[in-house]
Amino acid sequence: MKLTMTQQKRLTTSVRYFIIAIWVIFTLLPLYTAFVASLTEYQNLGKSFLYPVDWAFHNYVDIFRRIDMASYLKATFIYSVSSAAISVIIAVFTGYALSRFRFKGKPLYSGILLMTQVLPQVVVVVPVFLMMQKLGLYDTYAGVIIVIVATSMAFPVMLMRSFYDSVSVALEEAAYIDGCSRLQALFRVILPLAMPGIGTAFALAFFSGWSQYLYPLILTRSAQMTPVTVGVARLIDNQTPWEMVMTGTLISIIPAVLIYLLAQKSLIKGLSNGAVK
Amino acid sequence: MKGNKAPRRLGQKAEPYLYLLPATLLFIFILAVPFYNLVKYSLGDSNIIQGFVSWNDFKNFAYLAKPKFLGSVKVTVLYVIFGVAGVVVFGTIMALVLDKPLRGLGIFRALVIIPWVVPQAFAASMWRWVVDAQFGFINQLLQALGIIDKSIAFLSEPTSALVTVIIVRIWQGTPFMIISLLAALQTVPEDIYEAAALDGVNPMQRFFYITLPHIMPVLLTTTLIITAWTMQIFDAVYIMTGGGPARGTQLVALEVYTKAFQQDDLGTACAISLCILAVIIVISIFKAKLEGDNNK
Repeated sequence: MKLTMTQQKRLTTSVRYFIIAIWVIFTLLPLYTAFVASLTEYQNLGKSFLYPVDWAFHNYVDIFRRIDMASYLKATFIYSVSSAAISVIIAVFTGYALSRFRFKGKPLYSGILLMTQVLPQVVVVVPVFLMMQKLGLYDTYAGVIIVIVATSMAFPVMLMRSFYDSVSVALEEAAYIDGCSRLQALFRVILPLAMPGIGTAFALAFFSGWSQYLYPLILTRSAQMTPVTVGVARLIDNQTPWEMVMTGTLISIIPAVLIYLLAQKSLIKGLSNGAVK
Repeated sequence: MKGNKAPRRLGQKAEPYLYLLPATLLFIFILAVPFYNLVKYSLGDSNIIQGFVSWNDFKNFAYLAKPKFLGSVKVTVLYVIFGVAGVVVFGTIMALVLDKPLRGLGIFRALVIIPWVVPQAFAASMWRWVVDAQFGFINQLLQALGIIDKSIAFLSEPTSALVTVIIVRIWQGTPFMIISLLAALQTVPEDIYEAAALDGVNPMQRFFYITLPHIMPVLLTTTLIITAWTMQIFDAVYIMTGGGPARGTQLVALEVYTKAFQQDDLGTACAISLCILAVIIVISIFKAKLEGDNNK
C-alpha cells in the first residue's frame, strides 16, 4: 500500500498526538489525583477517583490548622530565597573569573565545580552533620543555607559564565577607556545586560532550595526550621488522611509550578545553556 | 595610565583569585574539610556523637563485601539501569515528537517539563497516593475496569515496590532529557532532511542515519549526568518505601543514611560513601572526556 505525501503527513501527525497524549497523561496523573483527593471529604476518599465530587475547598484551610503549614512554608521560603540570592551573588563573580581570566588551575577548578553537581547529598551530609554540631551551626538556618549554596551553586555559575562568554569584551574595554575599573565595568556595563541571565540563575537556584529535603531533615531539629518537604513527608508516616497529605503537597508545589509556567521559555533556555556545555 | 607598573601587574595576577574567593572558601568549608573527615571516619570505629573514636584495621570496609550490602548494590544497579534506560528511551521519543511544528506544541512542551520542578519529596507523596493499596487511582481504575477484583499493595512486595520507584524516577528524570535533546535537535540542519526525503528515506532510516548521529554527543553526556543523579536519589525512595519491604528498595544511598543515623555506625557509612564517590568520580571523568572530544 502506497500512501500519498499528505496521507503520510496526516498519519505522522496523528501518531505524534497519540504519543504526546499518553505522555501528558502520565506526567499529569499524580498531580491530577492529588488535586482530586485535596477536594474530597475524608469519608468519600474511595468513592470517586476520576473527578472531585465534594469540592471540599475547606481542606485548604484545615491543613493550616491541622499542622504548622505556615511555619513550614516560611522555613522553605527562607531556605530557598536566601540560598538563591547568595548563589547568584557568588555566581556573578565566579562566572566572571571563569569567563574573563586565564589563571593556573582553571580546568581543575571547573572540574571541581562540575563535580559538586553530581555529589550525592547523603555523602555530603554525614560528615557535615558532625561539623555543624561542632561549629554551633546545627539547627540554624545558616547551617542549612550554606550547605545548599555550596552544593547547588555550580549551575548558576556555569549559567553566568556562558552569559559572560556571549558578551563582547569590547564593551568592557570601552568602559576602561572611560576610566572604569574592572569591577565598575562589571557592575555598570555588564550586569545590566545580564539581568535576564541573573533572573534565570535565581529562579533555578530557588527551585533547588525549594526542593531540599535531606539537608534540613538532618541538620535541623526544631519545628520552626522544618521546611514543607520534611513536614509533608512526615504526615505520611503519621498516617494522616490522604486528602490532607495531598492538600499539603499541592500547596507546596503550586508556587514552584507557577514560577516555572510564567518563566518557562527563559528557564528552559537557561537550563540547556548551563547544562549542555 | 595611572599607577606604576609593578604593583599593577601583581594585582592583575591576584585578581582572578579574588573573584574566586567566596566560592573557594565555600568549597573548602563544605567539601574539602568534610571529605577529609569522611576518610578519617571510614578508617576506624566512629559514631555520630563523638566522630572518630579509634582505629579498627579497615573493619568498616569489610561490610562492603557482605551479602547484605551486596543486596543493596544489586538493587541500586537495577534501579540505575532501568531508571536511566527509561529516561533515555522515553526522553528521546518525546523530544522527537515535540521537535517539529504542531498545533498546541508550546503547551505540550510546557506540560511535559513540569515534573522537573516538582521536588522529589512531593513526587514521592503524590505517587504513593496514586499506587495506594486502599483508595489509590491505579487500584480504583483497575477495579472499575474489572481487571482485578482485589486491590494490589504495590509497595508491600519487593519487586513491585522497586518497579514503582523506578517509574517515579523515569517520571522525574525524563523532562531534563527532553530539554537537552530538544536543544540538540535544533542543530540538525534542515536541508539534510529535505535531501533525505527526496531520496525516499523512511522515518526509521532517517532517525538512525541522520538524527541520531547528530544528537549523539548530547545524548551521551546527558545520559551520564542522569546516571550520576539517579545513583544519588534519596528523598523520593526514602519517602515512598523507606528502603523496604525486606530491603527490596534499599539503595546504597539509603544504606549510608541507615548506617549513620539509625544504626550509629558512622565508620561504615563513610566507607560506603567513599565507594559511591569513587563511582561518581569515574563517571565525571568519563563525561569530561566526552565533552572534551565533542569540543575538538
